[in-house]
Amino acid sequence: MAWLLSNMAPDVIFSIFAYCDISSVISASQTCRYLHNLAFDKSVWLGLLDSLRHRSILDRTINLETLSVVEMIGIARGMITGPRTWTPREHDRNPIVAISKTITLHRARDVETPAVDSVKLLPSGCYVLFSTQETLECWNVAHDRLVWMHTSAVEHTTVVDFGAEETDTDSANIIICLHADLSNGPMHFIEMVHVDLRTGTYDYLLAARTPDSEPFYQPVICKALAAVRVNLGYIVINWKTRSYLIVHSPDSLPQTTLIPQHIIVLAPSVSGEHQIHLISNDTIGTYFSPTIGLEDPAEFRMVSVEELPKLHTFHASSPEQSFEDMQIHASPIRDADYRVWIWGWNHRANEHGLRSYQLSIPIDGAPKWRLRSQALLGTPLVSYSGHALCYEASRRWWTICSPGSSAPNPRLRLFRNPDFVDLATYSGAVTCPTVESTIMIRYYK
Amino acid sequence: MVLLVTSDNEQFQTEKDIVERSVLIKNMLEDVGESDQPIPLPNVSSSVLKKVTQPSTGPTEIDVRGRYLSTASTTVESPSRPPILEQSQDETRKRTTDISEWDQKFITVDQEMLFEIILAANYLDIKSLLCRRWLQDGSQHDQGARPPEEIRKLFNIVNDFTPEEEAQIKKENEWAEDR
Repeated sequence: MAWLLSNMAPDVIFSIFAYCDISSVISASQTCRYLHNLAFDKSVWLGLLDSLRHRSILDRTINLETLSVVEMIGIARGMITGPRTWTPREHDRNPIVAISKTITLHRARDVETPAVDSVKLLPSGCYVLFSTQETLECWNVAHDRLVWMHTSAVEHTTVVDFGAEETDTDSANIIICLHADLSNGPMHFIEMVHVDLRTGTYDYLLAARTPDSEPFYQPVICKALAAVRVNLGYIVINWKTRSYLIVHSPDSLPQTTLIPQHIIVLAPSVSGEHQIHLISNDTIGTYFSPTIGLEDPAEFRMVSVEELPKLHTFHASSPEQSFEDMQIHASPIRDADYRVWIWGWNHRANEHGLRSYQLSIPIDGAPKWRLRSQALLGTPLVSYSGHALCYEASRRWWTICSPGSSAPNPRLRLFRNPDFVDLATYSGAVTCPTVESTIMIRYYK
Repeated sequence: MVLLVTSDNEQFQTEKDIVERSVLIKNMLEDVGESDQPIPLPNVSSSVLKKVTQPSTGPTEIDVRGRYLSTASTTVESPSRPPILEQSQDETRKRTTDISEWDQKFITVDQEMLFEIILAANYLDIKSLLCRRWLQDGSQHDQGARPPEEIRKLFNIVNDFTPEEEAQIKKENEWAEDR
């Protein structure tokens, strides 16, 4: 008997598709009519999009069951291409983006209401976190209601910065950088909490500070690890074991971020060449030290970037290129791929720019990366699709910049300056506080 | 340890946590409770079972290059080399001739075995094994999924699209290349 895939029952094919990513299913659909029909079955796409929700890529604001396959493919495609009206059109001299939906969160309005410092729409699209001078609040978007407010273990604290990861439906791990003015001087510390976002109940996971009580900034969480910037470098904390690792570089501040199973460190080499290190979490267990906490800590052990075992090191595409800042977004259609946005300086051209690299980390095989595009953009607020939110200070308006387009950039209206605006990586939703102390979430067509 | 009996009457002593990766066997074990009774697997041959069980921890996924699994068979000592490499010498099965040399090196599991593994994994309900890797592995490519032409070769798929249809489908799915 000839072994033909077309002899296999649809159930077998569906169970294979259930463990594939979008790009593999689409590739298989292009092989023959039989697989084409099966690949565009509704059950396959419900599964594909559901797995994007589990990976915090697709938001949970739409009921997928009610959508057709074409609409579901449209959702996946929208994450790659960005909202349609964000891409400039040749003949449109005065383009303006089209809003598909505006949601407003109504905070109490009185003189006592503290102003919002910074906002973040969680990837599910169901919750907004925002900090004020005094605290961190979490609101339910659909109900326009406060669900949780952070209470620090220390009195008279101010929130400096925060980061969050949704761990499952309706729960999140949140890391908060805090500052307290105590009688014996200022203290900087972090607190981590796990919050049930339905009930607002929460558990403390960890509280920690450094010996010199240095300020913490730019916290990120990924599973058991959190990374947060201090003046010395970056502290990577395993909050489950309460152990820590301080990554530092003798000549510069290494920038550190987390993706599943890996740590990514951006740091110049001794010779000044700019590079990015990919470090596997499995290989650095012995570099972690116990125990981090709020007690007066002893001397901190620091580990130089040079010492850490690296899975791979990637270099700038040209020696004139320096790396200053990075953002990493997981690909919605390929499980092992990431898009790395790097904000840097080109010494020869004497200009700033945003470069994007494609990073692949196959399970078996060497990680690879390649330069995708480079563009001059005014801000590092960039979506997966490559649209960046830019503020033109001279004209006092916002535009959506697309790399490689000469047509005029579409304009949009926002009410605050860039520091206050959050851009959702995949949906392109823009969240910002307004002058009336409400919070506005906008989705675009 | 759990005793499994394959369709060709070979007996396999396998650790419980390994066989429990199969939802089918896990459910069977739960149904019979603690017992030394062998579990019959009438739809799985011994050669396939060797490939879908693995004594040590680690992914049960089969590596397309054959770097996978040793076996806890009572008849075969855990080999230092992956069994699939040993086996390729004494093959009675024939490789399909239109697979390119590159593919020959890359696949190492012949097509018949590939299908048997897919069917066995589906029957045993072993999630991690299902051969997404054959579709997905892009490490030989610039990036991403295996191109349609290669999936066709690998799975013996006959292209029954007209050239116009094929061009149309390619165009519709261009976005998913995400270059």
